[in-house]
Amino acid sequence: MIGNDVVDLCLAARESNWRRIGFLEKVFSEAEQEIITSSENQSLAVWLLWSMKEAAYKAHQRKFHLTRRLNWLVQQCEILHKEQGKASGIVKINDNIYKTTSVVSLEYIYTSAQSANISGVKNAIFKAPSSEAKNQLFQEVLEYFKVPCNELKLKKDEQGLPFFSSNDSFLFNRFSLSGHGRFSAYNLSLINCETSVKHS
Amino acid sequence: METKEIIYCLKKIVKPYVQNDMAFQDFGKDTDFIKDLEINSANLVDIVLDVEDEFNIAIDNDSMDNMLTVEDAVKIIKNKQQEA
Repeated sequence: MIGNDVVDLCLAARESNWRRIGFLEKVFSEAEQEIITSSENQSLAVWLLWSMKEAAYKAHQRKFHLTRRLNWLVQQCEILHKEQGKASGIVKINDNIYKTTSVVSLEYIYTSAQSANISGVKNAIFKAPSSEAKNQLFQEVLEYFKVPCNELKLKKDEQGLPFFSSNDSFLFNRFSLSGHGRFSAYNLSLINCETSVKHS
Repeated sequence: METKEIIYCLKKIVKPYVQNDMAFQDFGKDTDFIKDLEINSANLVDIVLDVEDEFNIAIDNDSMDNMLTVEDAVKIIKNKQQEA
C-alpha cells in the first residue's frame, strides 16, 4: 500500500515549535533525535523525519485498515540516502517495512511511502489548495478506469480512509492525498490494481 | 476534578490549534480532534504536551496512542490524576 505527506515549511515554522520541551521525545526515538541534533539544518531534519513517519503510517493504516493512533514512536525511520533536494529511507512499523522517497525544497518537504510489493508509484505536488490535488487525482482515476464521470465518487470508509467508488461499488484505494498550507499532493499506483488492489 | 471542569480546560487548550471553527462550537465529549476539529497532526503533539503541563501529569505512549477524542482525553487525565 502507499501513503504520502507534505509539509509546508513556512506554515510548520509558524504552527509548531518543535523546540519546546518534550516535543522531540514524544515523536522521535533516540536514534532519530541524534539525526536531528547532528544535522546542519535541524528544522529540516525534524520535518523530513516527520513526513516520513506520517507517509509510512498512512500506508500502514490503509494496508491493515486501522483507525488513527497517536504514537509516532512506533514508526522508526532510517535515512539511507540524502543529497541536495532529495532523500530516501525506510520506516519500520512493527514488522512492516515501508520505503520512502522525499523531495526536500526550501518551501516544502514531500514524502511518498510504499510497501515492498508496490510498484509504479506516481506522485504529483501542487502549490495549490487540497482541492487541486483532489481534482487532478479524480481526472487520473477517471481516465484510467474509464468510468462515467457522474458515477465516480471519492468516499471515506469507517476508519476515515478514502477510496473511489463507481456506481456505489468499490473501485480503487491505492492512492493517498495530503495537504498542508500552500501545498497539496497525491500519489497513486495503478499497476495491477484491477486484480489486487483490495489486498495490497 | 469533575468531567465538566476537565472539558472546560481542554477546550481552552485545544482552541489555538482548531482548523474547523464550526465543529469547535459544538465542543463536547464526543468531539474528535482530527475528524471534527481537523487539528493537524503536529499540533496533536502540542495538545498532549499542553495537557501534561496544565494537569501536571505525564502521559505515557500507550495512553497517548488512544487520545483521539475529548472523552479519551478526559479518561486519561482522570486515570493519571488518580495514580498521582
